[in-house]
Amino acid sequence: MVESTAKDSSILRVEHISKSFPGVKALDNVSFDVRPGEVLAILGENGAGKSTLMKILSGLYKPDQGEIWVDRNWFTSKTVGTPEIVNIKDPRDAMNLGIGMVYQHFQLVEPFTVTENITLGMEYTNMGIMMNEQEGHQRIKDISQQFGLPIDPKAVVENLPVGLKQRVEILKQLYRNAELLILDEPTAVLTPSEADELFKTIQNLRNTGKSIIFISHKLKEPLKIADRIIVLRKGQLVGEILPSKATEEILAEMVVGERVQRKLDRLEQGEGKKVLEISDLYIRDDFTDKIVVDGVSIEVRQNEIVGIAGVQGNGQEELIEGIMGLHPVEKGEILFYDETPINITEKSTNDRLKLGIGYIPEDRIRRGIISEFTVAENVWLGYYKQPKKKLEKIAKTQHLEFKGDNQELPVYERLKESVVLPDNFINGLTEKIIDRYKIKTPSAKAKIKNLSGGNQQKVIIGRELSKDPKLIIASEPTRGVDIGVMTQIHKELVKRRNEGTAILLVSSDLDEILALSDRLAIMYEGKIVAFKNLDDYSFKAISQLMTQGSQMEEKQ
Amino acid sequence: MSLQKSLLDQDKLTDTVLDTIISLILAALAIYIFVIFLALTGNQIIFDGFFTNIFTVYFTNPSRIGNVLYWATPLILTALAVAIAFQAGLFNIGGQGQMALGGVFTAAWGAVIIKNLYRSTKLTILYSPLFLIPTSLLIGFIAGAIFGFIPGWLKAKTGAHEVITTIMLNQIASSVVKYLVGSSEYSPFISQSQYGYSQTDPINEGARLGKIFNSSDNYLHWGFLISLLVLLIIHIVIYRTNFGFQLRAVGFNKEAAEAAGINSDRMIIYAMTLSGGVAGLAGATFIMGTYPYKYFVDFQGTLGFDGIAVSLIAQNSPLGIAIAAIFFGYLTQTQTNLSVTQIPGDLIFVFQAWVIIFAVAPNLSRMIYHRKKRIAAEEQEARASEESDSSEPETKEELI
Amino acid sequence: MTTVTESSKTPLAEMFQRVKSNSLLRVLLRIFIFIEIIILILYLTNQVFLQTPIINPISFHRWIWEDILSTFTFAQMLLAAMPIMLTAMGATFNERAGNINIGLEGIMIWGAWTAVYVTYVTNNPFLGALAAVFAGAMIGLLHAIMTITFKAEQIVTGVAINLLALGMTQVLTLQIWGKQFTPTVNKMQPIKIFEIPVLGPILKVFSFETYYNVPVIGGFLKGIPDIVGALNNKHPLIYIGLLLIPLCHILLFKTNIGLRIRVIGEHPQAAATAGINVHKYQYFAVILSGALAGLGGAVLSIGNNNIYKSGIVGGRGFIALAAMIFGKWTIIGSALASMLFGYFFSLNINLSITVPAFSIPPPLVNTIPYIVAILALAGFIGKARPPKHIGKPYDPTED
Repeated sequence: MVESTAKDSSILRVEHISKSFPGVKALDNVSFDVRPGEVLAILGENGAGKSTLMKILSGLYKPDQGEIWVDRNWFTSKTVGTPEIVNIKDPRDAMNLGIGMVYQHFQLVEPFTVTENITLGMEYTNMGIMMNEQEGHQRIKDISQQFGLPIDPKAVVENLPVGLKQRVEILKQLYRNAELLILDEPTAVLTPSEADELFKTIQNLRNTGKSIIFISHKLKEPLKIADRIIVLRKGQLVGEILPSKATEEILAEMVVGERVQRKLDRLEQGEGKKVLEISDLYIRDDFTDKIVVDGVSIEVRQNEIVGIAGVQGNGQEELIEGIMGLHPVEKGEILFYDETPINITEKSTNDRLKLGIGYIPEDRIRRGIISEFTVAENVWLGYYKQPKKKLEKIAKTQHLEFKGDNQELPVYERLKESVVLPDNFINGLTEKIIDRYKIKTPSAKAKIKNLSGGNQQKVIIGRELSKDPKLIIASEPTRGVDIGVMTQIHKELVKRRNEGTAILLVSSDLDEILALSDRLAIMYEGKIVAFKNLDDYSFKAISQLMTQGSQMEEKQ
Repeated sequence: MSLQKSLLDQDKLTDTVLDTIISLILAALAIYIFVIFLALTGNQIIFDGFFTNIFTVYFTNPSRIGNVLYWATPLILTALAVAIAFQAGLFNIGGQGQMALGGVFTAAWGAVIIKNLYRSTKLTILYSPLFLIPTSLLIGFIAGAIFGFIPGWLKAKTGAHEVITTIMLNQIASSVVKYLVGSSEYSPFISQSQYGYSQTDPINEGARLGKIFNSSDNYLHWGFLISLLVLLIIHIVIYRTNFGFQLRAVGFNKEAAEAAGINSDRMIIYAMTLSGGVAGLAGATFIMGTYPYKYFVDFQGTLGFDGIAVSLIAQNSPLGIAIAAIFFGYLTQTQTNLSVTQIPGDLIFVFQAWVIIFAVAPNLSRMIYHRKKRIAAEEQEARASEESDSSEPETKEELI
Repeated sequence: MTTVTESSKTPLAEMFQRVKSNSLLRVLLRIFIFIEIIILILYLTNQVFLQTPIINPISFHRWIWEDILSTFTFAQMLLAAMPIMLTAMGATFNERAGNINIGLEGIMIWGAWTAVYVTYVTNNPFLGALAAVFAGAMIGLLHAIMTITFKAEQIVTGVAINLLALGMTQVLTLQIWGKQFTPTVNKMQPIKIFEIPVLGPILKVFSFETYYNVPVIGGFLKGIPDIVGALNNKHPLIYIGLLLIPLCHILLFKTNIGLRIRVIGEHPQAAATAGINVHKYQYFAVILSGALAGLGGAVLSIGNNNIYKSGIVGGRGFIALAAMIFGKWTIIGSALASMLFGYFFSLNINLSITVPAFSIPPPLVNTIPYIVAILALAGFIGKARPPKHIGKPYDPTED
């Protein structure tokens, strides 16, 4: 580790950078520097400004104010020089300078080989255009050995596990002689053991003289591998601290600024009536033809929240889609308990929803809302197929106007009502939901795409919860939502649970799962590897199960 | 009350009418530039047809206006067909074939099948307009609907690109009608008269839609009112019913619609079938309302394709369709006035092409304006919810 | 995948297993089954129209197969397929780059017309063909500007191009010649390649016709298509087209240009972050496809014939798209699929010659290529996946 003394030894400096978007100041007078051969962690929660900062460094955004200084000598010949101001216009500029971005969403072309992905744009050719595959493979082998990142150059990327895909991304930057690597939330998609591999890699790279900026919102990680930690909050640099002087509590305070109660009250659980039962479910992925849900059995009862924990990509998404009828099931049964158990394995999504299931999908933009529709129309998505009787009941309880099948009206009116959309009812209901969940929108008739992500999520949740469902299936319900809204949503879920609703919760946010679940299931490679009361787990057991699918013997 | 309210809904109405008018102006501009260009290269006739005649003739001669509406009748329906499919996120380019089939089967029904039925049953009701007109329209609708159903079903069940399948079906339809009326060797519906080939006999009087005005050069017939009625009904269906709601949901975001329980396959099939049927109606009303009330090959000219341009100018909105169809009706009428040797029939294709290119233009400028707004909103959203998957760009509705 | 544990399988089962695992055999088997089904349908339909007498199905079957395997048919297939093949190969390039151009039909029309016009003016069909290539490239450029730079809806632009071509060619024809169709022009003269010094005799060795008089073997050879022999005496565009097959294949799959094009269609952002100018390669692919389609149109007007008239392209531009899909977005696949469609286009003539009292009305036979195209699009003839990012304009995050 290079001794960090005066600022003159920095290879990159960010000075008084500010960046605003309409109504929002994303970065406010941020300054820091990066030194040779160090791992700098940038810590902050969602919305703190980390991704804006990173996009500026990689050339995707231009700062409104401030400069970036780069020591070009260091980047080209590894000798210390004087930094000068640079203008990073686009990702190519950043690449030419020697700044290598590893994005959270990989920029890999799945059907192609490792070599093709890494050498893209700088391929090995004869006569300038004919591909020379052998030389490419050899060169990749050389680089991977040089940096201790073993990989098979001939492998096709789509067959690689996530950890190796990330390795390809890193190699891509090293191939282009990056001296500064910026890793954006790199452990978001890794298993704990893959994350450890990554940390080893980072340390190796640092020891060869590279500098690394490690962006994260997880408090534990910087403590593990950083040489220095800087914390961003609401666009401002809150402070810089050495890991040796920091603890998780200190970091949490810097990041959040106030203590947030993390554990929510849990009721003492009795055995409620079963609502959902899944027996031996098998789901196959069409593209890869692999089994992604491998004999899953799980149940959810009234008055409880069953959480499914696991690293993203272990089959949770497919399981939920299978339960909701959005993905075909190969084998197994899904039973919904109304008065009697109903086998819904073959039923349509609509039939399942009608039984009294509320569904909060994982991907809000793809599955949750229709951007071009108004807020009211999006609310109607939850109600359009409900039987008239149910709508009448809701109208009564909510004091809304709903004509329904009123015998007293003339024929023309009755005909109209049976065919035409009940506008007053829809608008009225939407207004109630907006009120109740404090959704920020100009009106019920505003197009939902103009709302922020958090408010969009609230519309979905408002819509589903207002149906008074017997069962709620919530997948990543607080993704992309700020901490205030997250707390609000958590409170709603707990309230419903207390009132008798059964809730199945899938989340890759371990804190969320631990705060909300009554019983906890852990999913690993398509299987449920453990399912018991939350209190019956030790934290170590949970991480091991998430990592390896089984618990190791405790050494005394 | 709600119907009037939606028509008077400030946002929707002024927006789309404004857009339609901008598109029309640009399209008209494009066409006139082209016409002037042709005139400069020596073709005076086209120039005359479009410029000098327009004021003197159109606004003084009622039958000219009638004829514009006459041409607007099928255009409203073919444009409506394109608009219906578009609401579900689909492109129906099969209007030509669907209209042709609607026309030929309506004619076959009215000229041949009814005659045979009468011969065997001697029921006079078979010849009455009360029976013939609805059934003729129905047959035309069904014929077109079948050629809408096929690409719809294929798209839903196999993902086959509806643009190409509908175009292929156009070719197939053109062969099918040649089979049906092309040669006395094998065609079941060919005209029995000795001069008739590639056509049917005239349809029974009871199946004909009479002219509105009793003058020999005013072709306007009651089919015009039928097309307006259909336009109104479809508008209500799409914007004011649950069915239309589900259709639009699928068109905007198929996956979200499915997650809300909508059967997107079924909606796609319904949309294409309905779309084909409406195009078939275009053919049916045309045959039923135009002297000599018989089907002949290629009667539909370019009306199926015109519908695409009309719908695009009209931004797929029903009111816009009515306006744009009238404009195109005027174009078609002018073209017909000039004799074939002086101006090729395919000139209208050029107009359509210009129209489409320029119809995209207001979209373009609106897109740019809205893009600025959208980028700002997106960045705001990015700021509010960073590093989450929702910062993926919105999926634009793919029509593929 | 199933693992074979016992070796005590019947020979039939083993053969079945071998066929299942070899994909080339699978494709051939599929084509064979497909042809058999077509023959069956043709037989039944013919019988329906003929009513009496009932033709012996075995003879019918034999006649069709004899026709399929005849050299004459192969030559016809080649001639009919060439315009489709050129366009399909071009389409492969631009779809691999993520752009959909359904205006290829319109470009073929332009190409066909331009070739005739320039040949008329210069009396040189080669210049006509060259002009067609240039015209096609220009329209490809127009489509590229609209869809890549202005990010217009790709389908709409394609439709506009088709209409523009349909209309303008007629308008111009009328303006220039005062009639609805063009006058006849010099068409390309066929080349007797077997008579070229040095190359000719070498080719002759590969031609089966040379051996027809040899006992036993000659008889056998007469029953299969003489592929090399059929190449003799065809117009130059055919040879150019055939040469383009390996050239295009190499360009797309063996050069770095082709690699970048393919990457752009799958994941343009990855290409951009690797420093590749996405739009530049897309422009290249689209212009190239326009040039090839223009050439394809020229084959139709001055290659096979000597005139341009309305309807000469007749949907072949769209068939080319079906051929490309059938060929799973590869060059060789598109070429082979185009041959298949070429066969279907010449069916009408073939069948009326080979089958006595052939009674299916010609218009109905004409629908066959289009029905097959639809089946190909529906994946009934094998599924494949298009490039992932197709149809969406690439939009760099910063403008």
